[in-house]
Amino acid sequence: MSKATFGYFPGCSGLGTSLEYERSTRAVCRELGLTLWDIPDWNCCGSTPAHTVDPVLSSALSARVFAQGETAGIRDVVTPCPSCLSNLRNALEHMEDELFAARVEALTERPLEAGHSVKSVLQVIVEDIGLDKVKERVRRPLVGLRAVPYYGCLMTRPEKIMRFDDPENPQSLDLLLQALGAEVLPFPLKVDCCGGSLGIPVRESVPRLSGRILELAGELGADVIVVACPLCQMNLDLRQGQIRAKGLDYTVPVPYFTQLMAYAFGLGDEEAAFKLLAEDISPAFSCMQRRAGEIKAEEARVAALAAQKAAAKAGRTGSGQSQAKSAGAAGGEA
Amino acid sequence: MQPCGRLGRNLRGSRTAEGVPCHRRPGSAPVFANPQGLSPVRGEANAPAFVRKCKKQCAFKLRNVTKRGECMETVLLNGRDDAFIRAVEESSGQVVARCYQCGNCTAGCPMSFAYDYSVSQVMRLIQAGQKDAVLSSKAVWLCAACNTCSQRCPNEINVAGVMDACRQMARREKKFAVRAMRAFVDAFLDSVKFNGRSHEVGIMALYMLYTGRVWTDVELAPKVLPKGKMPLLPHRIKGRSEVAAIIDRYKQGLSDPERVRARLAKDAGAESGKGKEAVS
Amino acid sequence: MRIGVFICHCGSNIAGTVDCASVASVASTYPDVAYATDIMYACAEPGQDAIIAAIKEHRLTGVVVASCTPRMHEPTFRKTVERAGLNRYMFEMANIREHVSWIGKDMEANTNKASELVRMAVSKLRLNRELKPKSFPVTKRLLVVGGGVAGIQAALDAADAGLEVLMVEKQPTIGGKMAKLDKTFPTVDCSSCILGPRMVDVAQHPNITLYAYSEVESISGYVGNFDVKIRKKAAYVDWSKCTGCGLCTEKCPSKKSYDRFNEGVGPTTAIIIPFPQAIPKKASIEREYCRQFNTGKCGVCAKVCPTGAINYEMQDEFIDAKVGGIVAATGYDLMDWTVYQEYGGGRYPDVVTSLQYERMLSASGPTGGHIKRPSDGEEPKDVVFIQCVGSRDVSIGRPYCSGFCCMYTAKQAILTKDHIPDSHSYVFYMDIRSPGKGYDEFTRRVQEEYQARYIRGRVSMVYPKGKKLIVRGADTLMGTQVEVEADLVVLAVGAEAAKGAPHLAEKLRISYDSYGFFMEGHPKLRPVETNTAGVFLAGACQGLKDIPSSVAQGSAAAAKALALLSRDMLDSDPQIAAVNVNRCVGCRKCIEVCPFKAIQEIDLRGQPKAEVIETVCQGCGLCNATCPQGAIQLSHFTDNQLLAEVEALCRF
Repeated sequence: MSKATFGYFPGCSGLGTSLEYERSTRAVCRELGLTLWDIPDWNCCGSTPAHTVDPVLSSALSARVFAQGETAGIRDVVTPCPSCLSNLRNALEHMEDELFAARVEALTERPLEAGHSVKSVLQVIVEDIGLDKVKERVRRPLVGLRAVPYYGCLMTRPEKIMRFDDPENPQSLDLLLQALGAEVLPFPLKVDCCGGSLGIPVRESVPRLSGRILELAGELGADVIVVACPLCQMNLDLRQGQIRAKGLDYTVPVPYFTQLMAYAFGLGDEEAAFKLLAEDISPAFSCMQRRAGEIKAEEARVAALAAQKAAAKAGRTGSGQSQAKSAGAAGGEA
Repeated sequence: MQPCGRLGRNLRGSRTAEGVPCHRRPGSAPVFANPQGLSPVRGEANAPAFVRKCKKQCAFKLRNVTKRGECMETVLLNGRDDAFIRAVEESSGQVVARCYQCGNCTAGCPMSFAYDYSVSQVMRLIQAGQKDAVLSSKAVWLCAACNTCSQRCPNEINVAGVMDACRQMARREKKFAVRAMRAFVDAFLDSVKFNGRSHEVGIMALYMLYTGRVWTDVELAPKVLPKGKMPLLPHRIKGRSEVAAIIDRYKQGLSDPERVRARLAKDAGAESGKGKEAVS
Repeated sequence: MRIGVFICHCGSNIAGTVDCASVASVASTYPDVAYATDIMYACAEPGQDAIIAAIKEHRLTGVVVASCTPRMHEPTFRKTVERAGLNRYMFEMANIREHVSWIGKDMEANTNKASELVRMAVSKLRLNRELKPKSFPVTKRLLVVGGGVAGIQAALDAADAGLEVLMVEKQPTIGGKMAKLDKTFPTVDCSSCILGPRMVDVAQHPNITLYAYSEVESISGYVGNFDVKIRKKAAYVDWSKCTGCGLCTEKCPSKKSYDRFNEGVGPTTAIIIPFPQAIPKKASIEREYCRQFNTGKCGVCAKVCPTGAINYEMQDEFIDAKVGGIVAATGYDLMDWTVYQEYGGGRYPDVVTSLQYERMLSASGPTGGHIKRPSDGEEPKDVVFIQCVGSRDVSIGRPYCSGFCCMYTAKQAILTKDHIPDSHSYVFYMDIRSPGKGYDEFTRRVQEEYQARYIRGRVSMVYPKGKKLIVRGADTLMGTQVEVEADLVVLAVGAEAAKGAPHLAEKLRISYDSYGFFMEGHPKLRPVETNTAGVFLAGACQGLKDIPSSVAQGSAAAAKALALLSRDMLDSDPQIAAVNVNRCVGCRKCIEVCPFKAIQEIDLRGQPKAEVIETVCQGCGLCNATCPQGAIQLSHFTDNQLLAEVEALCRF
C-alpha cells in the first residue's frame, strides 16, 4: 500500500456527536490525495472505560480492530480521535510482550500479524503530507482569523506512546493553522485537560476545566478555539452553554481543524459542516472578514506611502529615467 | 455495622441519611471490627486490644468528626502490606519507591479539586502499603487519565498508570467508591457489548438507569438531536457477537495471567515433547 | 634470593574465610622462600615492625605480603621494606582480601586461591630487579585556570608563599559567579565588598600574572614541567592604554548585545566594561554586535577614547609558559532550564533565573537594584520562587542536588522583602538543604521573621493570564493543589560544570563525569587532587559547593601545589618503559601508540631506535603490548615477570 492510502478508523463519536469532524476529515483527506479505506465492520476501541477496567480488555477490543483491518489487507491505520489512537497504540505496545499478547488472544481468539501502525489524521497531514502541500491547496486563506489551537491532553501524551510533537508546547496545529493563513495566538493551556469523559459522572469537572480554557481563550481575544479531539470539542462546544450558565462571560466557537481546512480549501458547506456546531461560528467569520479588510487597507496604505517616498527620492536625484520608472512602479503598486 | 458506601450529595464528605458519618477515609479504621476482622496493617496502634475489639461506635468519632468527615486514626506500620505494593507495581510496571513525594503530580492534576486524597497522597499510601485506604478512595475513580502527572514526574513514574492499576484492583475487589463513575463505565461497556460500538444515547439511558440521575444533560438534547448528531438508534455491527464474546470471556477470567501462563507453559512442554519424538 | 612471605589476617576480614596459617605453611615450600608466617594486621605498627625484624633476622632480600589490594597499602609496605634497608621494588603484594575473602565464604576454595596468588607473587618477585628513581628539576610556577573565588584564593595563597602564579580567566574580568551576586548567605554580606579586595590583591600581587579574557590553548609536558600555551583573546582594546574610564561604553551606538555579565537582563553595548569593580577594569568589544566589524561603519569608540586604546586590527596573542603545577578552578554555569516548557521555556519575560534576579537585586546591576518585572518594568508584589528547577530530576538526566539553591533562595526572599516591604514571597520547595554553620537558622529566619511563605511541593505549570503569571503547584503537607497569582517567578535553576569544562579536562588529561565535573583522586580522602600528577582542583568544578567550601578548596589546592613544588627536584616513578636497543628495529609502532607522546625516535649509529622520555612516561604498558619484537619492556611488569606469574598459576 502506498503512503497515500490508509486504513480508516473513525471512532464511535464520528457517527454521532462528532459528525462534523467525520465529514470534514473525509473531505479534506480526499482533497489532499489521501485514500481512506474504512476498516470493515470496525468495533469500539473501548475508549477510557475499557482501560480503566483492564488493559487486556482494552487491547483486545483494539486487537479486533486490527484483525478486521487485516481481512482487508490493511496494516497502516489512521484515526481522527486521540483517545482511539491512544488505545490502539497502547495495544500494539503492550502486545509486544508475549504473555500479554497471549492474554489478548485468549479473549479475541484471533491471532494478529506483525507490522501494524496507527497515526492520527493530524500527524499524517503534518508529517506525511507536509504543510507545503496544505498551503498549495488553500483557496480561501483564513487571513484575519484569530485562532487558538487546543490539542487536548492525549494528542501528545504520554510521550513514549504518542511520539508526536512536543508534549508541553506542541506546534503542529499552530503551524497548520498558520499555513491556512490564520493568526495563531500563543495559548498556554493548549494541552490542559478539558475534563474528558468525566463530564457525565462528575458534573463539576467540565465547567471548571473546560471553563478555564474557554475563559483564557476569550481573554486573549480569540475568534475560535480549534480542536482535534471529539471529546474536547464536545466539552468546549456542546457544553459551552452549561458553562456559561455557571458564569463564563465569553462565547467562542469551537470548530475542528479539518472544518477550517475544508473552508480554506474552498470546499462546500456540506463538507465544512459548520452548521453542525453547537456554537454559531458566523461571528468568528465576520470578525475574520472585518480584520482581513483592515489588513488589506493597511497594506495598501503602506504600499502607497512607499511609492510616494520612492517617487520623491527619484525626483530629488533628478534623473528622468528613474523618475519615470519609479512613477510607473508607484502607479502599479497603488 | 459496615462502613457506609453511599455517596453524600457533594463529593467531599457529608452525612448520610442515617446521620452516621461516612468513612471518607476508610484507611483510618473504625474502632469496631469490620466483618473480616481487624487488619493489623491499619490497626489502631495506640489503643489496647480490648478497646479495638469493642463493637460500639467510637464516641469521639461520633462527636468530633472533622470537616472532611473522618478522624485520623494511628496507623500501625509493622506488617506493611508488601503483597499489595507488589501487585500495584506489577500491574502498572512502576517502582513506587522512586516517588519522593514532590507533589508535582498533585500540582498538575486537573481533577485534584474532587479528590479525597491528593495524587501524591495516594502514592504515599501505596508506599505505606495501605491497601484499604487506596482501594476505597474516591481519587482512583476520579482520575481523568490525562497523563499530566506522568509527563511531569521528575522520577519518570507513570503515575496515571499507577492510578489506573489501583482503579482496576478496586473494581476487582468490588470497591466502588464513586458509584457514578462505575455506572458510567458499566453503561459504556454494556453499550459496546450490545452493539459492538458505543451508542451515545444508549449510554446515557443506561447511565440514567444505573444511577437514577434521569435529568443528566437533558438540556443538551435540543443542540444535538435536530442536527442528527445523536442518532436514537444504534449502529449495530455484524460482528457484535464477537465483541460481546470478548467482554464475556474477560468476565469469565479467560485472560487471567496465571491461567494463560500455565497454558503457554503446557503448550511449550507439548512442543518440546513432539520434537523429542521426531528425533528418536 | 631469600624471600619472606607474610600472610595478613586483617582481623577477621581475611582470616574469617581464609586459613592464613595454612597458606603460610604452603608458601614456605615455594622456591626461594626462606621464611613464611601469618600476622594479625600487617599494616599496623607491630605488623610492620615484625616484617622489618624478620628481614633483619632471616637476611631476606625480598618480601611478599598477602593482604589487601595494593591500591590500599602498596606504598605503606614499600616504605616498610625500604626502612629495613631493601629496595622498595623488591616487594610484591598478593590481594587475598578483595580478590578472595570478600568474594565468597568457602574456606577451602579461598585458602587454595590464596595459596595460588601467593605462589604467583613469589614467582614474580624472583624476577624483580632493584629500580632506582631518577630526579628531575621542577619549575616553581603555578598555573591557576579560572578566576572565580576558588581560583583567587588558590592564587593568593600560593603567591603569598612565594610561588609565581599565572592566572588565566576566560571572561574579561575575574570574580566568577561570586562577582555577580548581590549579597551572600548566611550573613547577607555584600558580595563585591568581600570579594573586591581579594580581586584587587590578585591584580596587584607581585607574584601573580593575570591573563584575563584568555584561555588555555594547549598543555604538554609532565608534573613539574608543564608547557602551557595561553591564548589571549583579542579584546580590540589595547589594555596597556585603556584606563577603564568608560567613555566608549557611553557612546557606543550598538545597544543590542546580550549582556553576559548581567545574565541577559536587558541589552548592553557592543563595547563593555563588565561592572564597575571589574578587575581588570578594561573595555573589550563583542565582535558579534559591533557595527564596525559587521558593517565597517562606526568607529565611535575609537574616536572618543582619550588614550587611543581602540585597535580594530588586534589579533589573538599566544603566550608560552612553563609551570610546575596546575590548579583547575573553572566553576559552574546554570543548566539550560528552557527544557521546562511547562514553565514557559524562556517565552515568558517575567519568568527569570536566580542569577538574573540576583543582577536585578544588585545596585550596580542593569536596574540599579530596583526589582522590576521585565515585561512592563513595574514593581512586583507577589514573587514566587521555585526551587529544584533542573536538580533532583531524573526525567531530564539531572538526579543530583545542586547544593546551594535552598540557601540562596532564602537569601533572595529576604532581599525581596528588604527592597519591597509590602511584597509577598512564596517559595515552593521539596526539601530544605541548609547544613552549614548558621544555615538552618537562616532558612528559619526567612520564614519566621521575613514572613516568606514556604510551600512544600513542586510547581507543575506556570502560565500567563492577563498581567499575572498563574503558578500551579501543590502543598503536599496540606495535601492540596495550590495556585499563586504571581507578578514575577524566579527559578532556582540547577547548576552544572562550566561550559567548556570537558574540553579543558582533555587538555589537562584529567577525568570528568557525565555532568562535566572534574574527577577527584578519591571522593573522601583526596578531594582537591586528580589522578594526574601535578593537576589539582578547587571549587565548584569538582562538585557544586558554596563559597566557604570553594575558598577552603582553593587554599587546599594551593597547599598541595606548594607541597609538590617545595623541593627543587622531584623523583620520577621508575616503573616506566625502557627500550632494549639491540632488539628494537625502529618500526615506530610504540611511538604511534603511546598516548602520552613519551617515546621518541633517536638515531643510534645510523639506525633508528626508540627511546623513552623517562619523565613523561606514565607506565601504562601499551608500548610493551604493541612492540612486535618485545624490545620495549615496562620495568617491574616485564613480559618475563608476567609470564612467570602465569606459569606459576597454570601448573597443570
